[in-house]
Amino acid sequence: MAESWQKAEVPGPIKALLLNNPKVVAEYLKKANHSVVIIGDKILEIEKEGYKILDLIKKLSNKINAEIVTSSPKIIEEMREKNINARIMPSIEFIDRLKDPNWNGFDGKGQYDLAIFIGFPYYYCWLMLSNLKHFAYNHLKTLSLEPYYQPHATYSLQNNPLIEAWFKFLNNVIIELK
Amino acid sequence: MVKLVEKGPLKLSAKLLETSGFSLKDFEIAIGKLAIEEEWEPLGPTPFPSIASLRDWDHILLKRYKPLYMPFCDLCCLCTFGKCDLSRDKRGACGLNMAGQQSRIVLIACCIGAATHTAHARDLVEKLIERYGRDHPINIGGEYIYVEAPITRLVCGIKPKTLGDLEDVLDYCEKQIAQLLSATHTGQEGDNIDFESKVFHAGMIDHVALEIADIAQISALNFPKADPEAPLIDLGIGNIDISKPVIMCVGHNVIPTTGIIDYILDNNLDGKIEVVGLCCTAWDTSRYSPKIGKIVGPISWQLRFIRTGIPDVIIVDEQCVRTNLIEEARKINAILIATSDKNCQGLPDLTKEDANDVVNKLLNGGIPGALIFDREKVGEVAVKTAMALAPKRFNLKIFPIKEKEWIVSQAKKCKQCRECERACPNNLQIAFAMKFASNGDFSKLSNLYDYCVGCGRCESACPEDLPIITLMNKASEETIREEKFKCRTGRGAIRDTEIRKVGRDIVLGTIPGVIAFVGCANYANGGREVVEMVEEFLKRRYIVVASGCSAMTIGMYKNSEGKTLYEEYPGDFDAGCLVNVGSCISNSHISGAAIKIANIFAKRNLRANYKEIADYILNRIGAVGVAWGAMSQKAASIASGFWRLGVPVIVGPHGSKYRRMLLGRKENKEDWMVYDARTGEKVYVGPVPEHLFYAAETKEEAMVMIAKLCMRANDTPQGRAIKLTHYVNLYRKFYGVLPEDLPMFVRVEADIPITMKDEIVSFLKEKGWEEKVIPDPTLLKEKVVKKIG
Repeated sequence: MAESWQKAEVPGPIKALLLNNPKVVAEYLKKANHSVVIIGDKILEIEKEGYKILDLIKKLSNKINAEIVTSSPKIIEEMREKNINARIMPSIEFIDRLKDPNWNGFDGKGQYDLAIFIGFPYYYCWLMLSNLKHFAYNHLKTLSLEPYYQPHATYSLQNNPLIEAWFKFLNNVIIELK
Repeated sequence: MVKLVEKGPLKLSAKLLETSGFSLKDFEIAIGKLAIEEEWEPLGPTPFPSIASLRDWDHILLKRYKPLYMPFCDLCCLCTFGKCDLSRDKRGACGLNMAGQQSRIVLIACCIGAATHTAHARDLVEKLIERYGRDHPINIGGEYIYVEAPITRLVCGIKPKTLGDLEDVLDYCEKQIAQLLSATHTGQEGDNIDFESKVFHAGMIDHVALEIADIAQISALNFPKADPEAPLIDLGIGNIDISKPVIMCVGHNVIPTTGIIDYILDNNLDGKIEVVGLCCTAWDTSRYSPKIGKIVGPISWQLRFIRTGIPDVIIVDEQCVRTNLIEEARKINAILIATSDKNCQGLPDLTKEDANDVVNKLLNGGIPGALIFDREKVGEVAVKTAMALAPKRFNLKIFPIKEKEWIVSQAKKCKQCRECERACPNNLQIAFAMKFASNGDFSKLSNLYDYCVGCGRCESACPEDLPIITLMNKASEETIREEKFKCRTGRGAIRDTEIRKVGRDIVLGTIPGVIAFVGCANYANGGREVVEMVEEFLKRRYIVVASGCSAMTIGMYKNSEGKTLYEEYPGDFDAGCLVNVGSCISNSHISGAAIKIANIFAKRNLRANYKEIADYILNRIGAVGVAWGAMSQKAASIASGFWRLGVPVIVGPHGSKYRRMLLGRKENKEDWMVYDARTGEKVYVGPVPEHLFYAAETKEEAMVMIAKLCMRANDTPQGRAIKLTHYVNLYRKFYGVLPEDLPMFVRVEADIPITMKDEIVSFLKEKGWEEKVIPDPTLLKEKVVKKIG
């Protein structure tokens, strides 16, 4: 059974479905009609270690036609260099809109049906996911691509604190998206 | 003219009362609480408000700023019906849903906070009355302060003049907290918005208690009285002379420490012993005696300081004290003295024993510490014990284990299980650092020092029982020795004269904002971020105010010339100045300053006139609180006191764990309508301020939000242009483009910053911007002077 990375983070009866097969992750990504990727500032720490995680996110968002949203200035800068139009919005504000079934999304095409989270402090991410789990469950599924199990997501990867293995896993997800 | 107001009990009794056909013997009538007080201002509509008196104002605010709940878990486990699963809008056995439960948890947190401050205030007032008498006058700024207790005047409708008067105010606070807490019982309040209204009430009460506590101690203990030039004092472990006996005082209630300082002075021991403090007791010690009181650092320095082995005697009073300090004291052969009935630490009560007998018991090792409630005895015992113990403990300072080889041997025991990281709130890479340390490279371990919040959860989780904090300390020994800073001690209140000088500029917007950096030190990325934010806004000539542990953090970094921000910027309440008001309870002077602007500059009546003043502040005073490391329930209640007054608060990432934000939705035009007080028309003013409570992910995000939240509906075009200059400038500095929401904040062309005019005009054209009316804004229908039709 999946265990939270921070051991005290015990969620309750509803826990994320653990995805440890890249192919299954790709299937869930493909199944969604209107996705959005929310990137946290912590992703930069991984980039500093030499893993081009933002390149992976770019590929992923291209393959599933997902918008990207972040409040991190450095991510915005890097995305701009990669010719990606990332939306700038504080994550808490974005969660407030994601939970609203009547919000029309950045593109005006209606509310998103899949929100993908990556690059946040562990606790900050599980709190945002917790809001969506309880207050947006009718219209939204959430997928955590963090290297840690996020129990409040609809789907989550397992704890994978060895960045190299996590990076490889995400690469395989991209491959499976074809 | 005199007037009867609620104050003291009035009793009428008579032996015999006879009328036709009716007689009454030995009767007594008690008529509430009445006393005679001078008429100083007409009494407003809400003196001593009950828990629902201001509910209509709260609902106005909560309609605009809606709660966003982020539950820790799916369950409620507060009664024996439970556990109840509240996930996905299920209801518990009592009928409560998740929104209700989360707001209830916020209310419980704020009640804890308000109760803690009120109990602190009660203790201070009682002890100060015992020493100085009920008639001791309130004096917090002499000729510079006429409005001595703005919050108490506003909420209670009374003007306290003596220490004795403060007791009546505390009676009211205690009653309100009991009422509020009772609303959280199973089967009481069920509506989340009404819970939130009670949260605001708890916050308002909290600010009353804060004010009472600080004006009592400023008046009686002769703290700096609204002094912009309050002394610069020593901050940091490196300032402590370890050749002397060291008494460490931690907590929030300065009374026991005053006993120590008085004993030192009375016995000519000044200069022969060090008295150092952590958390708010440190500020208040330095306010009592800037010459003797030194500051170690914020709350998060408790463990790391004890592990240096420096303190000989540890005095704990109340609040924010690490609860296992008795164990920690034992590890370094130090003595612990507890001084508060709220925090007895399992120690024997030796209050009534002879001081020398207590010292002997402590020194002979029979007991690890003592509980002493008498301040004079605390002073004598602490000083005598420290002086006797220090020579025996000298070899334990600066660190109990001297050799760095010891770090290597300890680090080698690490099995790389990463349990420490799974317990660390900041997910610090402790195991990785241990790996390097086991090979003699301490750099990674030392790097963690700046980011560690000192909670010690890593040690609790470590299956090898490694003393990780001590190892981190030892690896950072040079850094610790260099912790030598200067900070300005708490000045207390803001002078009425200062309010008169800057009130107009704040209300018109030509001073772009007042930013208060307050709260604890539970930082996600170290304290440096606070300093960077403070410096940014000082350079932009905002008024920056600080208190508590945040105010310490601000003093813990130096510029290239070796100066801290306190040495670089003046302590006046003015543009481009850095004001340290003092400890947590001094936060009352920040909300008090906002209230005084409405009163002194705008001449609005304060007395029991809460709604009008809060409406004024929300629409006109560009103030924002930033609690970057907020941790405690007290921080929650302080924040909620600001919310009810219309002052937004931003917290750092860990602040998201308060589990509830209060967010505006800028695109919902109907949420941003106000009455024009001159015409009664409803007018769109844009999302100002956009949120009431908000957790930022990064310091950059926070800085942009701070500048944005300083905008107010009443800004003049000149003021709005200045505020927009900073908002646009910061947004562009971090994101490289103009903010998408810019058109919402430009009402007329004159609002556009002149230096960016062409660019912004073309941006606005592109976005289909239309000119808006600038009203005399109010959310209160009753404040409309002339109604149409």
